[in-house]
Amino acid sequence: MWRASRRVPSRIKCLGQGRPTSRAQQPCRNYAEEGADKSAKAAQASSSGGVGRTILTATLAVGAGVGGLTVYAKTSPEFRKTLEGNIPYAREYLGAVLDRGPKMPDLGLGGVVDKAKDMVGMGKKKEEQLGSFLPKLSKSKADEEEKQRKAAADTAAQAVSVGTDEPMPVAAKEPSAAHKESATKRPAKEKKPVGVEKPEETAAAAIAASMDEPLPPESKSEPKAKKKAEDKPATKKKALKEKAEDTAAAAVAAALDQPFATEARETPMRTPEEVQAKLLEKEIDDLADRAATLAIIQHELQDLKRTATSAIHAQEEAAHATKMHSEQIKHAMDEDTSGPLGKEEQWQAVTGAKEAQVDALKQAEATAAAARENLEKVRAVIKQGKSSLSEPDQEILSAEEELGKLAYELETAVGKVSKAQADAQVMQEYQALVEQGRKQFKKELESIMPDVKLGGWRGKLSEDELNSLIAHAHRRIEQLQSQLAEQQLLEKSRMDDALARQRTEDEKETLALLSRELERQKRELALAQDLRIAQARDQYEAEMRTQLRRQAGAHSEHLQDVLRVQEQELSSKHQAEMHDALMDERDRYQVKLNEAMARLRGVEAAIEGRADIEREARKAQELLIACETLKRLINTGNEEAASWEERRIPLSREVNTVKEAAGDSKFFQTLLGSVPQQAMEAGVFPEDSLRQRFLRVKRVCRRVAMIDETGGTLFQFFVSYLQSLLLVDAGRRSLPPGKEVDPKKLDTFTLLSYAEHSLENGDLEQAARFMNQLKGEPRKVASDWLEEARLTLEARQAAQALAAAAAAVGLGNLV
Amino acid sequence: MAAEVRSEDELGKKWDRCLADTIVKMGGGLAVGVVFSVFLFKRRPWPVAFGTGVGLGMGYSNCQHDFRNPNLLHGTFVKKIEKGEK
Repeated sequence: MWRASRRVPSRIKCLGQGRPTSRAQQPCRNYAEEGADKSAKAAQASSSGGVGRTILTATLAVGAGVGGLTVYAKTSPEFRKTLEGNIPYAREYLGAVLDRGPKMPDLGLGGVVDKAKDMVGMGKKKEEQLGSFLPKLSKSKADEEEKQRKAAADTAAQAVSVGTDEPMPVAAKEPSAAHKESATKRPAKEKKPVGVEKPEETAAAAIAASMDEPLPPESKSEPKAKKKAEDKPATKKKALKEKAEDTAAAAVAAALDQPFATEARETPMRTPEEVQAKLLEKEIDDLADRAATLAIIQHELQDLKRTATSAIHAQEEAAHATKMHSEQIKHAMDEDTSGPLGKEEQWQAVTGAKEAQVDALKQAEATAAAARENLEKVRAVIKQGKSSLSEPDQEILSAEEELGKLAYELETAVGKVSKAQADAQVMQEYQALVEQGRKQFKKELESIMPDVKLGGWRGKLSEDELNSLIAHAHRRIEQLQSQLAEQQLLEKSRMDDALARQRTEDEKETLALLSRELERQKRELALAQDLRIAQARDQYEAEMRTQLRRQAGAHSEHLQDVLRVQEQELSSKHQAEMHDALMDERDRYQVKLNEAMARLRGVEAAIEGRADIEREARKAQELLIACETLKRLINTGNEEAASWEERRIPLSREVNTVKEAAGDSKFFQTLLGSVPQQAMEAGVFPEDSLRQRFLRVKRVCRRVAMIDETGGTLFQFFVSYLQSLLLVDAGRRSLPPGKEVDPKKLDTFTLLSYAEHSLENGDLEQAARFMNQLKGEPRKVASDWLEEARLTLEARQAAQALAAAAAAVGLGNLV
Repeated sequence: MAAEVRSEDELGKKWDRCLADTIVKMGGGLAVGVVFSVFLFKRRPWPVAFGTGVGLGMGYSNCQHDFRNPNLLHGTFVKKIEKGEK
């Protein structure tokens, strides 16, 4: 029905059909056509770009959304966090896109590896620069200043690069180009070497890279050799120290420190790992300190040796050259008359020698200066090393010794040079004098004979000229003789003066020499002392250590012994105390226990007594209950019985109950024995049923009243029956029996009525008595009833007795 | 005869018995009389009456005898049942 009533949509109906051929399928035809048209149109529409447009717009929208989210994440870290939390792979994406700039603290391993690589690169660069340090020494001060600036630029560039976390090697390659930026970067650099002290690796990068002189800007304007030297060793030492630390410390520590180097924070935040790393670094510091110091000292010493030897060599050469020069001069002066050509050569030689001397002197000066610089540097380094380290190392002392030696040698060489120079000076003076004389002579000659040129004695001279020349010569000779006489006179004084001067000079020299020697001696002594002190200290320290160890050992042993003894003592005391306490406790506990036991026993006894009483009471109660039950049963019988006939219940159960309840009491047993057996087995009628039964009995008795024991004929029965009918019983019923009743006057009817009356009054016993007086047939008729009545009476009597007895017992127990 | 007979009911029972017996006897007598009457006396009424009377008299006599000697017991034959038969 549902299927039939359902209307199939026509379009769907059409789907089931194939070709629209028949007329029944006509309605579909249109739909099919329409559908075809529509699909064609849709295809056309799509081909014209609707789908493409939608795709494009969708892509644009998504891209715009993502871009907007990214930009917002860049500005707001909270938003970024929410994004990262909610969208999977957003973290990676945002990290890739946004984190090319100042990096957030990121303890990823990749960053550590990168930094380690950077450190390695920097270390290599430092080595390069260390190697290149020596050639730079020989350049002039201007060059050095240039270098300073370049180095400063290095520092600045590197520090900045550290701050911005650009790849270090890239930044390091910039120094050549960056020295022009030094002016701008100087204030930044000013901050950084101070503030960047804590991230030591970065400081190492900055400072070590510019090994030459990362001076504070004030001293840059006036580079003093000493200060430079001091700073140089200091910074170089630091640099080497940093290098040593780099090699010693882990890259992790570096990575840990690195993030905190951003923007030259003066007080970076530290984590416990930081502190740990710092402690580690400090330890490494100390170790590296020493190593670095030693290394530096060694290095410097080698440098110094080299420079010193070169300087000494140069000095010697200079001295030699000077000597040569002076000799040449002397030679030239002395061999005045050897020949003009030879003279020329000699003078040329002299000039050559002069030049050589000049060169040598320059060289010597330079080298001496350099050597002195180095010396000072090394001295400063050693001083620093001595001050920084707790005890002067053996090596430092030996270095000091060498230093002293070299200094001495340098000084002596320099002295030699100066001496030679002095000699040369003398020679030069002499030469000057000679020259002067010669000039004078020439002048005089010229004045006399102006045409004559010295050396141009071509052609013969005239007699006049010769004469004047001779006269002049004679005059000159006289003059000279007189001068000579004067000179001879004054010779002594001059000699004295000269001697005095010489003496003073000698004194000065000797003083200088002395002072030098004294210094040397002092130094040696100091060195020796230091050495001895160091040795002694080492020795003492070793001894002290062993002693301390021994003492510690002894102390620990002693402690152990003492502890053992104490332990024993304490344990024994403790045992004793414990024992005592235990005993006390036990006694107390015993006492308590006894108390408790006694009480318990008392309680038990009381309970027992009580229990007995209770038991007795209960028994009595049971007995009472049983007896009462028996009595009730006897009185009421089976209450559920339909008629009076069935109201008998065997009393045996109740009697047994009573027997049990009574227990061993003889009294009760006797009483119980008095209950008739038949009552026990068959039960007794209650009074009511007897009463009811009595009615019947009475009727029958009245009917057979005339018949006696011997029986009677039918006729008698009939007559007796008639009599019963005729006799009316109404009046006698209510007749109460008098006190005395005459047995002879009782007849059946009377008896019956009396019995009924007594029964109605509830006196079964009396009724039974009366019934017992019946004679003849009525007696026979009533015999059963009488029997039952007697049983009931007996049982009742017994029960009553029992109940009374039980009550008595119960009462007795209550009391 | 397991049930006990109460003494007061004994007479009643006796009377019942007596009556039943008389009726039976009367019936028997009637029957004999009828038979006699039918077969021997050509359907005359007097044998029936006679028989009935005889029955009645017998019954009466029995009753009387019973009532006169009440102490006489009425016994019944009990078939002895062997142990094997149940």
